[in-house]
Amino acid sequence: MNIVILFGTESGNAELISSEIAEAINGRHTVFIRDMSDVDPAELSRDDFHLVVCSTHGEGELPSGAVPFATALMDAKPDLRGLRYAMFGMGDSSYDNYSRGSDVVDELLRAHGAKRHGPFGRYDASSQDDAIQLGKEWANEVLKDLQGVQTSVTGKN
Amino acid sequence: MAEATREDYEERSAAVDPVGGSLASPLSIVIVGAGPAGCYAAHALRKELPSAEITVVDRLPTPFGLLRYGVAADHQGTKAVQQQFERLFHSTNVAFIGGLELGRDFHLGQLTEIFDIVVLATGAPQDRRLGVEGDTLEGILGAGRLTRALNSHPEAFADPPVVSPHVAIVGAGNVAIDLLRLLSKGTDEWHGSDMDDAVLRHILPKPVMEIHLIARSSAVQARWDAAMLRELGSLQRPEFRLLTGDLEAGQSLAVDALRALLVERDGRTDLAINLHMECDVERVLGERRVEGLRIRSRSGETKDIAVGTVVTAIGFEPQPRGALPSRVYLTGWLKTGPQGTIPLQRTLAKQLASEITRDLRQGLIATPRPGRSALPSGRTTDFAGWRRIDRFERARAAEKRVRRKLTDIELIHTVAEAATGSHPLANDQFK
Repeated sequence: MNIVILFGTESGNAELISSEIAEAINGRHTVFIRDMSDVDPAELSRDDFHLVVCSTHGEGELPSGAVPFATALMDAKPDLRGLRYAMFGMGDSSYDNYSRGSDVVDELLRAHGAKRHGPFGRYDASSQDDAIQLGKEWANEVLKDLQGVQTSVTGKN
Repeated sequence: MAEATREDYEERSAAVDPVGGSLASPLSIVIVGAGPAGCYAAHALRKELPSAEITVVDRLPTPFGLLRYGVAADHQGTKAVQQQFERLFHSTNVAFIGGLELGRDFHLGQLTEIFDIVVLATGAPQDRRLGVEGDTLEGILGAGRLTRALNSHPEAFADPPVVSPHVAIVGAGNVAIDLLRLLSKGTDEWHGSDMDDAVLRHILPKPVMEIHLIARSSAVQARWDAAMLRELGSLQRPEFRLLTGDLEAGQSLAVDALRALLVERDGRTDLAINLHMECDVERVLGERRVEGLRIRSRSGETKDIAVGTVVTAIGFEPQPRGALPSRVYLTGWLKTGPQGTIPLQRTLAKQLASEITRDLRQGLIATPRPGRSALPSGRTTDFAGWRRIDRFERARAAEKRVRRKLTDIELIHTVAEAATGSHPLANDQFK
């Protein structure tokens, strides 16, 4: 199973975190990184597991890099049943609508049948946290959970 | 090991290099200006052309331009994009060279002889003037100059401006609000910032007692962000008053934020911030030095305000540019004119990388050029040098501050050149 990291970014910080996550999990998994602005959601593969890293812009809006992806979901309404992902949101709790960008993408993915796995990770720019560290810990946790799920499925067979 | 791993997955993730790999020697790219526009350009070009040799030069010995010297000291979150660029300069094929200036150390013609592709990202550093009588009097400060001084820019620090306790700020954009906030902060409101107290004391020998903000636009039209206004609400000292204009005319998040600021503090304030919306500056008053401003409201009423400093935050001068030689590209404010945010530079960079790749596919590049190794030598810094400066500045940060910048070009070079592990200035007065 390949891991596809999808990032939705305004200033590139979500891309940076995605690169660092990729570096951390590469070797254990085959990893690809893709900018959401270049991805048609209908083309996502059910064979891959998706780590979605999405920031928030302005007053709780989507980052510009996630807008085409979200628009495609709303307009084309693709059937995403069987698609698996985990979500990591970035925001600033000193603003209203903290981390709303990731919530919007998450709601859209689920509304079209995709299933979210593992913990919903969040990074708060107002905290003293290290975004990269949090991102890596989140990815590790998600992938650990995922292996558990796979093992139990295999066990049933 | 980590390096190999990183390259490994980046090889697979990166776009297939359409042209760079087919040349006899790698494509060479130079980017002039290591601010956000130049760094994003390097990042985007590296993704499109992974095998290209990319060199980012800056006239200062330190990288990151306005991230370091423009973004406010108390907005460290905005400076976080720097991490992306540090990662970039760690990667193979991308180098930073500081201390080389276009027009001083080399000319554009030389660059086009040395490099296959030249990208200019030198920005628009010149403050726009008021354009009224008296706008060259002593005591008039461009926002860019004041921002650089507050950010410990070596050149601004060589001749640091002094701000009077009675100051007018002309403009109603985020730059004006940044300066309003920085001038209003009390001594204990800088936690987590990289403000240098000695620099601040120099610029503000006495605390500011009164700020007049003068804006042409109405509260609804002004280009400030609501979040910037809301941030002002957490300041300890000021009381805000709206002296001209009204908030009834429209609805916006910014107007809501402004309304929340206009609460009386029952005389418990030692800093009055007076907002004059929908007012034009008619002239600057004074003989040699600024003594005041004459402003005119929409109703035609004029008013004289006594101030000792006028900060102009009305934008920057667009940079003149002639026809470009082939293989030379622009990005950032040099290309778009002086407006647009940091994230916009990332978008511009992606467009630039596509444009250059398209031109390459069309066979624009005939002969490989020598690239980085042919740059003029001199007293320059590299990325390893920047890392030493960075560590040094962080290590000497005052309590509850994240950094204390070096303000002297010579010292910056000395620290950059020091062998790893030694402390060249360990015992001097700058520590």
